[in-house]
Amino acid sequence: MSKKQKRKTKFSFKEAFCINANKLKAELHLCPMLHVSTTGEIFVENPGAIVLYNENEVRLDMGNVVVAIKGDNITLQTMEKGLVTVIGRVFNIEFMYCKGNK
Amino acid sequence: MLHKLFVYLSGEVSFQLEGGLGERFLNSCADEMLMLKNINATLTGYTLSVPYRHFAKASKLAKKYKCKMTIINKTGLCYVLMPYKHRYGIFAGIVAFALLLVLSQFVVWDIRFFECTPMQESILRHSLYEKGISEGSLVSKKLLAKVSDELVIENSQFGWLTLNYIKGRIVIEKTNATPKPNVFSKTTTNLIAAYDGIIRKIDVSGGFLQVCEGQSVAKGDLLVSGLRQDVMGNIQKTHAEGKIYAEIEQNYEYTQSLSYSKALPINKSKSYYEIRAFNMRLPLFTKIQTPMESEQRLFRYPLSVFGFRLPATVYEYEVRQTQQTQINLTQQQATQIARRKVYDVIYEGLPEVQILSAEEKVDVFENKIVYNVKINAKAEISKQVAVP
Repeated sequence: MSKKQKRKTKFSFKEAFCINANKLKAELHLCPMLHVSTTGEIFVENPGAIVLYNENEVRLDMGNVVVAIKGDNITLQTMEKGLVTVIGRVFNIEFMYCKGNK
Repeated sequence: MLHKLFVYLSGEVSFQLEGGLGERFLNSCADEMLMLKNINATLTGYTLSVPYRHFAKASKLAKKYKCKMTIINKTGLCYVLMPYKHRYGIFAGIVAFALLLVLSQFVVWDIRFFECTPMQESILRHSLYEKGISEGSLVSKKLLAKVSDELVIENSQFGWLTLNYIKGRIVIEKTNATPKPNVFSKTTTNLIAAYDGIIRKIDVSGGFLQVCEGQSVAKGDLLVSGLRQDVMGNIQKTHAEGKIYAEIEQNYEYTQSLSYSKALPINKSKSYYEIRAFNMRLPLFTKIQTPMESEQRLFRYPLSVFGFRLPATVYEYEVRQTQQTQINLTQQQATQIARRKVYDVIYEGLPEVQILSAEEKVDVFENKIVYNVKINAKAEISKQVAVP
């Protein structure tokens, strides 16, 4: 029996060099990020999911860590795919690491 | 500002979410690319708002995650227009109104007369109606130029006339015609007497006078000659012109019946209206019913609502029923009618007449009167005749 050859995946020139805008975006901009502005807004880029949300706390899954934003009247001003804007009187931001992550 | 306008145009729904898996609902909405705004946590759930275009998907997801959705507020143009969703007449009306506004640029809304007397205004109005230019008619520069030329030709009293179309209004400007200079005629003419009489005043500007003041003349006598033979025997020809006033005596007679019948309008009249605008006719009747004995009159006037002129003209056809009526006159009434008729004839036949005395005589018969008047008057009696 002849050994079944593994079919090689073919990449186009554009795919190989990530010229396609969406792909490039996916490669470069999909890592979760947290921006805190002095105006009281916290921009969370590419959050995984909302784990918990009430008026005093919002917990966002960021992949390796879970970010807990605590304060008064915590409001999600906008929420769409890839961006969550949090406003309110923020007292602290906690990073909770999962088991096994350093 | 622009963002607010965009939100108003796209529409927005605010709702309350209670129970169920609230966080999962939020995550699913984000995964489905829905845009959630103003998410506030409450004791029992969340309040949030979504654009109108995402609301259907959001409500499906809420059902999926067993959340109770209560709508708080709906804003936006789509919700304003929602009650008129299937009322196509309103939209058709808006479109028709827009078309009307566009068309109204070429429509006459008003006609103004600049420095015209009321008589001239009525003459021009009537002529314009006859030529199809009135409130509501579509006009062009070519048509206005043509009509203004026609008006000048038809009415000799105007030296120059123009129809200016300014912002839906026709302004008619004109100048009065200057009187034509009296060109001396080269034809050879004589002046002869049109009536018997005694000459009282002579005012001759051309020709060779054959009579003098105080002279009696008979009808047909030569007053001013256009021909004369000079000492050399040559015949001189000229145009006799002038006025010769004489004292004349004339008899007039008129017979007036004491009873006669005439078709007179009675109180029963009916008006039929027709609106004309944009070169179209909109009759507000099916058919004009004219009784056997009736007269019809046409009135035209611009359409106005509470004093505001609209670009349309109302044609009112008034049908007035008439009836043969027997009219019985008294002797005095018949005499007055006869006198008026006789004096109309006198003033029409004798130019520049000045009645010095009049002797009246009325003969009364069974059904008529005969009115006789003998007048002594001073009048212009010359009559121009061509020399053969």
